[in-house]
Amino acid sequence: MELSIDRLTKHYGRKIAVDRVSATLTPGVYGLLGANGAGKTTLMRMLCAILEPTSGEVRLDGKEIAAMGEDYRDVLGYLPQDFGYYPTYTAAEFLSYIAALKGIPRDRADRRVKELLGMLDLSAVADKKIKTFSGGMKQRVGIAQALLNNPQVLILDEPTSGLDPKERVRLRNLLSEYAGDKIVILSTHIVSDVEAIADEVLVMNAGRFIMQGTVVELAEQVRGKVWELTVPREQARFWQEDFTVANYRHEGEQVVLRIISDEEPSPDAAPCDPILDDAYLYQFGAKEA
Amino acid sequence: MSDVIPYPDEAVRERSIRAILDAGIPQPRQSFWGFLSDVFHFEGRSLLLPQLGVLLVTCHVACTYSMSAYALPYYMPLFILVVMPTFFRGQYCRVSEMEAATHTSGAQLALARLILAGGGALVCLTFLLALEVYLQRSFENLGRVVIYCLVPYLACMTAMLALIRKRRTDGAPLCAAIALGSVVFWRWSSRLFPWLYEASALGVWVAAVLFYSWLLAKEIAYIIHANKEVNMYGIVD
Repeated sequence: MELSIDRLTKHYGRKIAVDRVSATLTPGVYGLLGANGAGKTTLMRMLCAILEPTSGEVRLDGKEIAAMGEDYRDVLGYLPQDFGYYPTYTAAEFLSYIAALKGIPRDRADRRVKELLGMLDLSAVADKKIKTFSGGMKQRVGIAQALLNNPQVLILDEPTSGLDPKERVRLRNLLSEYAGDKIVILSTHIVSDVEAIADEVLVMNAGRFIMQGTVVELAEQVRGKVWELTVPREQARFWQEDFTVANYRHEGEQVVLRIISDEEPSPDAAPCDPILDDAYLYQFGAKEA
Repeated sequence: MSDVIPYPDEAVRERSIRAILDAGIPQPRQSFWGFLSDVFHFEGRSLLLPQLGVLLVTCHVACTYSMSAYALPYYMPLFILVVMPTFFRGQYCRVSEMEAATHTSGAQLALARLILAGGGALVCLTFLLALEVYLQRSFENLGRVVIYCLVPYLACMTAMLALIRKRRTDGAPLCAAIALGSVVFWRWSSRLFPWLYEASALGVWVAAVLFYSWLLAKEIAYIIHANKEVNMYGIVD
């Protein structure tokens, strides 16, 4: 299975939301990383064929997805960024409703809904109205609806937003287990989520992919540009003004700064192993990211 | 990779995950009638019960105040007003994006809702006409009453479908305003334009029925075409 994106572009009037983006995705987990407004949601909507591109195309195994229509939507699972629900429905009813829209016969849908509620730890609240749920529980209902048809292409827009750290770990594990021979694309601006599960990371800025590669490859791009420097607490502010500081850790009266810089910031600074966060910050700078 | 935090019941979770992962992808496609039955299951109540409520109110008014034939039209837009929330609910509950990414196109969903709402309205209208015949003890004006009722209903239904097709963000309030405005207009039409209800003006009504039927047919044809062409009727903007 191969999902190929070819010079995909979306204009809103004179504003360019996505600018000639190209990539070839094969089974695995892809992390789409970028600041708010980078074009992630627009790209994901075009990948779901619910937003018409201005130009360019998306093909699944050589067939254009817009022309595939329901054949494409049959293998697609999508969680939008702004997950909405019908307030009068219980979790089980809402999932059954989406299952009906996905064309799953009622008897199979009932079984599937039960399985997904169990998998996402929602069985106990299956008959409770979604409007009474916490943000994290609502998000889990959203993830469950995306998985209803066992999609081959799973697109999740900010799936970890609203989840507490424990739930985020559960979701990461679930996606890792689920991925297998499927294409899973998840967008986020939380670098650690992507770092934990993505086989490949696509970094977006101003509608374009500016970095692409595995977590290790991207991190390696900033090797030799990440430094640790211990300074007195009162000096920390000045370092933050002059350099991109990725991390700030107190050690007694001293502060350990993790600095991203092409040049050695001080003779006292020690080089250290880069992580994806550093590569991201190197591209965007602490303020923009 | 972070540590695995177990679910309260690990066995249930394991079983569920295995079942999900083992499940095949291809599902038997449902026929449109099967889909219609599903829509009826989930939305039948919200499409039919409010229409039944309007029918009961209209019957009550007709029996209590011995309503004249030309008073019926101003109740007709209410049949649209009460089903409108179901047609637009995907939009204002922010579910339409999710719905658009499913096997069912937005056009198919709109068509199924239209069939159910239209079917309900047809039953209600038949009942109202039967009541009218019973109250007047005559079939004499039946044809005129049918036409008087059809014009506002067709006009409001056409407006609602056009608003859904245009995917306007203010579609729901605009549709409600049109339906309520129609109620007011038809309420006062007999006083403002008394000539409209004279036998000599029947031609105007027939022309109006034909005009709105043509517009409605165009809207329905658009939905069917969008459905066949797998056009993204529910596409987001």
